[in-house]
Amino acid sequence: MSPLVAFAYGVLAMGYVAVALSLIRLWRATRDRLFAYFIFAFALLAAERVAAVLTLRVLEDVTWLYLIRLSAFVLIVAAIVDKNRRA
Amino acid sequence: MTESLRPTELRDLVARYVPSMLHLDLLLLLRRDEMRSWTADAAARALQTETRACGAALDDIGMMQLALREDSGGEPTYRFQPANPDLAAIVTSLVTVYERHPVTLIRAVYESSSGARRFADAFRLRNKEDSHG
Amino acid sequence: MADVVFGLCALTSLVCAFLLWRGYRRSRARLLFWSSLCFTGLFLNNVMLIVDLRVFPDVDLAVWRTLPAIIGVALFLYGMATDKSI
Repeated sequence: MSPLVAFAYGVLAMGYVAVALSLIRLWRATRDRLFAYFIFAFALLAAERVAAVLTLRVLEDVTWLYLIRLSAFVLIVAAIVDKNRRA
Repeated sequence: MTESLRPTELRDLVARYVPSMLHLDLLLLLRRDEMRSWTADAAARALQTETRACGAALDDIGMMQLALREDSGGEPTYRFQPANPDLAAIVTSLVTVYERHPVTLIRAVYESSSGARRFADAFRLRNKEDSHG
Repeated sequence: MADVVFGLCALTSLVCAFLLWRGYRRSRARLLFWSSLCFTGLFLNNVMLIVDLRVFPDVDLAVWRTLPAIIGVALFLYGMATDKSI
């Protein structure tokens, strides 16, 4: 893994963390469960980036790695389902 | 509806009928003199705000059936006229809350129109009106 | 299998981008504008990952596919920082 790729992955990981942290503000303002889902989703996306760098995986088609990414998006889908189920 | 509103009821009414402070100010303006018809321009001057924003908000108020819109050739004019007694009672309740506890109502308006609220509401697949059945 | 997963991730991102864009069109709330772009960036990130895997197996697009996600995230953070209504 070249330093540039590692750097890019690190920047994105930090970006996801920053998104999760700023979503906390939206959650506190509304107490809407949707934001809780999104916060954890972005935390997982950050974790996936960190895992990719730590295991030197440039291509993320390794099962355990992309399952982390999948869980993040499953949480987002769950958030949307939850929002619409509550009528 | 002469009893005071519960917080959840207030939030629901504000979410449906008071999308912004401008809408509130316009409702109060129209209601002050039910006989008078206002153009967007006249209302904007009275409230010292932009004509275009007033026009859009008055349009919303008309579509909520809280005001009557008259297009007699020139600019459309708006007059306070809730379409039915229930809507009239709703406006009265909101105005009462505003008169007794202005901060409560203002806070409810800002919270329901906040970016956070709009973000969460964006993920409702159907329209807000639909879910009220 | 990986393709399917990344495809689902891309689809979910696209749905979010669409819902937030629709919300922006209706409410003109600026935060939704930037949020929609953020999820568009995530969509592109996942699509380019599939492209990187399938279409260009010998070329590494790592930095290129990370860029849309970084830009998307930066735009969302900008939207959060400058929003007056939260």
